[in-house]
Amino acid sequence: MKFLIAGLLAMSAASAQFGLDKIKDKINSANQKTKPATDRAERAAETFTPWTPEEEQAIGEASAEKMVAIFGLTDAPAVQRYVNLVGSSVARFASRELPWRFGVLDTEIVGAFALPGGYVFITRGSLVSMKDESQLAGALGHEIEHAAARHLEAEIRSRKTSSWASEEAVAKTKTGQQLARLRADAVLKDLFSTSLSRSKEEDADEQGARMAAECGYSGSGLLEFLKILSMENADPANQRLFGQLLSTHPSFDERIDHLSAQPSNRSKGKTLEARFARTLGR
Amino acid sequence: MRKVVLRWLMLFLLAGVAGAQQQPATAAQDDKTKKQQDSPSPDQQPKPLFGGKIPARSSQNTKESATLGFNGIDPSGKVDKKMLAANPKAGDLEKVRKLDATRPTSVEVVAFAKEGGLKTK
Repeated sequence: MKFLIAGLLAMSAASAQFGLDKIKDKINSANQKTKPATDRAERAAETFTPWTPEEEQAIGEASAEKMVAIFGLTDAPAVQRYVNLVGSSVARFASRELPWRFGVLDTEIVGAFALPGGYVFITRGSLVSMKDESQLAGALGHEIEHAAARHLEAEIRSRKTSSWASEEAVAKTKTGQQLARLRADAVLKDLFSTSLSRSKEEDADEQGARMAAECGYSGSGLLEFLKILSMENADPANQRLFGQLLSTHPSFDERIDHLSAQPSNRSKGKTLEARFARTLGR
Repeated sequence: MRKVVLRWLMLFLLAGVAGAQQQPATAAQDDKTKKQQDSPSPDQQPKPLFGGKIPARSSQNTKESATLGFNGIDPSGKVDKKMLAANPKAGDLEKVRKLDATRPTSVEVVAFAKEGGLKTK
């Protein structure tokens, strides 16, 4: 009798458990059906939400770390400091305040790069091509505008590139520095492989020249620098130097045409050729 | 017998004269080699980091420029995909943080602007 009662109890418990499991399964399956839609909504919301200042700094630092890993920094402290001083002078006239940091990348290619959070890099090859400080001021001004106006971030978000989307999906499982590094990967991939819109590049040229002019430099520094690059680019032996720059920017001639029409271009100011030459050891 | 001795003597003297004539040439050659060792070839000479005009960089295919000048750059001039995928090295973050630590103060920026006759805002 005892065995019979125990058996009946066990059977009823099992059937109750089975019923509960069924309900649980149904809930789970319903959840699974709605989850992708929720994820998509979250992802879309994140796509259009700007990074917080903290996120911007963390992503900028991780991106800068990667940039340094690729090219290295020049071992010339006096030049690094000089570029920081010129950049910081120009950045006082930027549309947004950021903790600006400027570095000289140890590569012969001609280029400059703005990363989130106020990290700006210019290459040794660019400095070699310049004639005076106003040209450096204009080129840094161009990059300062990209960073101040969050051009790269906005472009990445609006385009929702495949690399960015996949990084974002994985990012949900990461935190802190891991997350910043993951996003830095996407930032650099986009920085080196896709070009910003023509309007953003034109804006950066205009604003870069404006900032340099407001700072007291000759407003035509950037324009003169572009003219030098255009001439150098005409030499087939120099093609490799401009490969990266021209793959992500409009042609030098287009930029020269646009910039020539800007009022800041006519602003007379300092070129500081002697200080530039002295610092660079010419 | 005397003839044989004389022949040997003549040969010996001729050999001596020839050797003496060759010696200055060898010495000159040694000097040249030494000079070449003392002064490195143009390719080996350290290039000024920022000096001069941008050269028509014919060195772009040399081993030196492939490792130094064009680090991280593929033959078309774009950033190498392999480099893009590489993880930063141990000291790279330190270098970035050093950039932050050596940022000029606003007083230094104003002094720099004044020195150049720029606007101090």
